[in-house]
Amino acid sequence: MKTILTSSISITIVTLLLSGCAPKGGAGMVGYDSNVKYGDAKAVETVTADFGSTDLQSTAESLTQSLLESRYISKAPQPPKVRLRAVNNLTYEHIDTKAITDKIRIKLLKSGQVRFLADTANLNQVKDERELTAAATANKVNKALSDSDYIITGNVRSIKKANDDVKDVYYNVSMELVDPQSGEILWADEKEIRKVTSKSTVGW
Amino acid sequence: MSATKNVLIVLSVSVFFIGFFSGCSSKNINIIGEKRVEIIKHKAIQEGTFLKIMAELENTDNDKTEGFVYQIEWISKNGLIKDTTPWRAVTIHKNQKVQIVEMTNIPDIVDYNIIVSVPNK
Repeated sequence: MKTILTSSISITIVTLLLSGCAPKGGAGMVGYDSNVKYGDAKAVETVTADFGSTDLQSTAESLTQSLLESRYISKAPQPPKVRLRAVNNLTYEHIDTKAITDKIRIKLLKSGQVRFLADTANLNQVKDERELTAAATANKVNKALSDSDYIITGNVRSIKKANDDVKDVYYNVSMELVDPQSGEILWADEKEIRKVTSKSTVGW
Repeated sequence: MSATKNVLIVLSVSVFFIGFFSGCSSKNINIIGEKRVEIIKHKAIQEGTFLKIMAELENTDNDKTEGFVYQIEWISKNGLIKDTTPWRAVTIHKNQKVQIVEMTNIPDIVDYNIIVSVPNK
């Protein structure tokens, strides 16, 4: 009887020690019970008709594919040096166009087919850094920093129409590859997106 | 003679079962959810250093327009998934087909998986 009692107490103490102090959800998790959950960053998002993550991803993906197929990139003897200039937001909505160009730059760099020069916004910082170590050859440095084979520019436009039942938004993101010496447009493509919000529709 | 006949019967039955159980899945294709959309053909071509794929999808329903999403997984020569496309939303009207074309933008991709997710109704 005494043995059973001792065993029971031991098991209870060990169980309480092992489980009582452990945080909920297990190791490496905090706030397991909360309403915050991680989702698929690449999932199709249709919360509103505004320019969203799905539009950003699909625009970057399709324009990158198109650019990589252009002969100025695919048939170049060596990866050309490119500078991404600003993509102008000509819509009435706030769109972070830098997010579009950053995404395109990441994809193009991963392809290994293009080399990028620093953005004009960061150019002064890069120049300062280089001039610290190469003050004597400042002119050559400046030339190397500004010698891009091509520049990429673009525009985002939108047309919105709505009545009592339907809201229709059309986005057009266009980009072009330009030779800065001649001003010649060597490649241009666009991504069109249409989003329709209907009050009577449930789901998508 | 009887033994040969038995062997033939066993082989025939085996072939039937192999065909029956493997016929539902196809290499490179993974359909999640209800199978209301069919991938009727798909192929890959090499575009320089990049793999490009084309697939044709069909809505076999006579009555309903189907909305679904798809994603491509790009697989390296080591068999690892190196990249995925974002999920893309597509609508196919009743009895219609759509063609999708995707190209990876990272080199050394040798294989792909097409994942189609059809929402439950």
